[in-house]
Amino acid sequence: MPGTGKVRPYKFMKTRIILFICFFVSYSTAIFAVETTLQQQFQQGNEAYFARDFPKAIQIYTDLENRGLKSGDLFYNLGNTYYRTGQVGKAVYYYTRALRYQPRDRDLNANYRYVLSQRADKIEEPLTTRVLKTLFFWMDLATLKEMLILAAVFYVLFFVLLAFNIVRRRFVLTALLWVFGVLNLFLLPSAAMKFYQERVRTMAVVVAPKSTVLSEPSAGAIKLFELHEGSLGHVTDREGDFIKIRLADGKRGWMARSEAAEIL
Amino acid sequence: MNFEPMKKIVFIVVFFLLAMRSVAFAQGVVLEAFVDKPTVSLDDQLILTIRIKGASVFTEPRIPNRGNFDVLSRGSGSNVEMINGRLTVQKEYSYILGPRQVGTFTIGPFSVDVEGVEYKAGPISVTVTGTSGTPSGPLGPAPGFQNIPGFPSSQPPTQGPTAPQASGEYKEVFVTAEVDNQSPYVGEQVIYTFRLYTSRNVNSAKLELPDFHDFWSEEIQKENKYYKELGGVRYVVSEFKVALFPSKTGTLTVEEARLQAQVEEPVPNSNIFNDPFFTFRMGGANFRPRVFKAAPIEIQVKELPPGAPADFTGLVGDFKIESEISKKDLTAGETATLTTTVSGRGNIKDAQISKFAEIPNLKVYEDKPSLDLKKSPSGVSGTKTFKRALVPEAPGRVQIPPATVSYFDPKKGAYESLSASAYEVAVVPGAQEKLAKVEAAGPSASGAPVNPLGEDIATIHREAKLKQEEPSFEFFYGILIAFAAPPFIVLASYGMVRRQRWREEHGDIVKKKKALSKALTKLKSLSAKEAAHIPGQISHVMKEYLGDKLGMVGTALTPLDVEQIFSRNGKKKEGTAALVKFMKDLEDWQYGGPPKDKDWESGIRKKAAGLLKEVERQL
Repeated sequence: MPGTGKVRPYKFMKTRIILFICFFVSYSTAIFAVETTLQQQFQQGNEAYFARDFPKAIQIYTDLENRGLKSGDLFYNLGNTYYRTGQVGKAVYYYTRALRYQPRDRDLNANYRYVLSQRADKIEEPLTTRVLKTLFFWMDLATLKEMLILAAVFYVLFFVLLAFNIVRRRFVLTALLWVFGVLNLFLLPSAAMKFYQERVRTMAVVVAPKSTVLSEPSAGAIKLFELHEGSLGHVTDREGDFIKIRLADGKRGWMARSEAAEIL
Repeated sequence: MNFEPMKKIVFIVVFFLLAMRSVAFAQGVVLEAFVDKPTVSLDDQLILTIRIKGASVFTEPRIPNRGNFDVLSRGSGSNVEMINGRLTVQKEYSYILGPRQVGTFTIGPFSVDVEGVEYKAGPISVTVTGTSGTPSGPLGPAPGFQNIPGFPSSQPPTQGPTAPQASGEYKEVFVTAEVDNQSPYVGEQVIYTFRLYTSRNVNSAKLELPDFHDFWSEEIQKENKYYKELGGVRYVVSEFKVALFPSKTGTLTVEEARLQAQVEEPVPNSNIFNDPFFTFRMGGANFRPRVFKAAPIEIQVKELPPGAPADFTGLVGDFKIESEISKKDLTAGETATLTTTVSGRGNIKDAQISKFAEIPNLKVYEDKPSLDLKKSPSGVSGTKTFKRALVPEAPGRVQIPPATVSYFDPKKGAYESLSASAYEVAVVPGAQEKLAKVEAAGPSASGAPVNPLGEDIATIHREAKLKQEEPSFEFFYGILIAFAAPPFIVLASYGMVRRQRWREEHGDIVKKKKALSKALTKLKSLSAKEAAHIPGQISHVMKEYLGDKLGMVGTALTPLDVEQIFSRNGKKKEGTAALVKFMKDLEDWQYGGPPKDKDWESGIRKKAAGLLKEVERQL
């Protein structure tokens, strides 16, 4: 029956389209509902903040965080709220996390600098670090995502041009190759460094009012120095309840894990 | 070089100096001292001249017993005279002596040291009378001043602190000083006025006002000149005004004011020694230095009456208070500026407004007050501005109490209390807690720069659209592919290029390899509509194939050529024969018409394909 052979696929296709639309609509509705709930909860946190009920605001924001939300705005508000409660360490912790997602936010940068200035410890960065930060200033202006996309786009463009240039050599292509090549020389190390900073290296913020840094990961070890709330360092090792921390000025030692918050 | 003329000059100079010295010492040192007149009134002045003859090196003259006079140096002059072949060196010092009190006083003896030896002259006795007994105007030439260039040759005119004189006449030059209120309250504004009356030309006037050490003083009028007629004489009056604010009670004295000036002197026609060539001249007329004094003034300063309000801070005068607030609707953490101004006439510097008591949920930051003084001949007035930054900490309504100020009004003789407006500020949640600088003043503010009152963090993000900003696993996977794939693209393109080059270089091999598939494809694609032409087309395809395989132009091959080629290459005879026969059949069908079989078309296609495959195997 040639006639039925044509009708059946059509009907089947129609059913599939309807099913797909139903699935899409229900999925979108569910997503929208979840987003609305998150947004409402976020606003509740904001209201608690303005009502000066900071513990409640922290509770609401933290709940959002525990639900897996990683948002610059959320972390920024958490940083503000912790600052209002006098917890400079937690404020630094959340501002640092927020900066990963919103590095160009002026309020965030201003607050971060301001809160850093409130810390008791002034840790001098060595000259080389300062020079590198100046040379690679754009790294602090972009997120890891942006940096990777940018590097990938120019990387791909470079190779595509190279492929074209192999097939058909042209002066314009060669010139563009040089341009993209030089850009890649900056972008690829920058992206790699950014990736290293955010995904490989772990930072930790002192959240206890005062923390003693020891020579070994044991309570009876020699006390090397003291750190105060809000001080930042790199985590270079972990052992039991201790983490090994290295400060920007090169000082290192072991501190209790409970006295620091690791920025993962 | 010829040094002879130089030597002569040096010799002459040395001789001249030695001669001068020897002449002077031959004469001996003479010290003379004299005044231009023995009697002087209290409001007049003397000119004291000390003359040293016969010495070129000596100390400054010493003038002892000068306590009853104000001594003002007029400078010195020296000259060398040759009289009857003798050189005489002399130097004169001139002083103006202003008497301080009535009586007969002895000045001196005057002395100088010449090479360690003290020379003396005097003393001089001077009588000071209470009032001027001489009419104004010049007298005869002062003794000792005739024919001496550089010194005035006439007696100074009389000077008096008040006008007119006892005789009812006004002097040609005189000064006065007065206050507008001799019994003010402490802190009350008093205007001190100094006037110089002159009917002569006066140059290089220098006024020394008292230091007003018991007063806060503000100069309110530098110099105001106008004409005034007194006793039929037209005077030029120079007026200076100072606002005084007594800082303590009791009898306060405003010390005398002094004016030094060069006063023009008329030149008597009868005096042959007053030749202009010998007189001290200035601008075409004779000028003589003079000192004029305005008498001290006593002021009785009264205490303020009791019953001062609690917020009274010593403000005396006439004032008013106003206030304005920059915003009445605020968000928590936002700043509003409350500006309160106290303005009026009096000691505005001392103005203070009441302090705010602690207001719940409101931080108040006081700014440094700014003062805008206005000075006019009528006195000091001005505006003192107080700025307060108000920062509400929580939502709600905040009552801002009125600022108050209290002052003493001397005209009414009573204390006054003034209040500015009170405000209510509505505070809503969502503060704009701006970092750093607290904004103050309006856009037209032109005063001092606003000082930051506090610092804070920026407020939370309210209108943020929450989204997951963490890059997903898929994102990193995509990035990995993006970084991994491009080298393969390059490799592929490189391979393609190489392959293309190889194909270009080895075209016959490629043809040979592709010959069968190309031929089979062509056989399949032969159109059925052109059945009559099919044998020819198949023949063409087969010849092309053979040409590709053998590396020659296939279309020109004949079945005989094929047979010969195959036999030369030692290929199987059965297959070759079948191929040759089929090619001959094709030619027959091509030119003689197709076979009569029903399925000849598909048959010859299949046969052609089979033969080609067979040949492929053999080759």
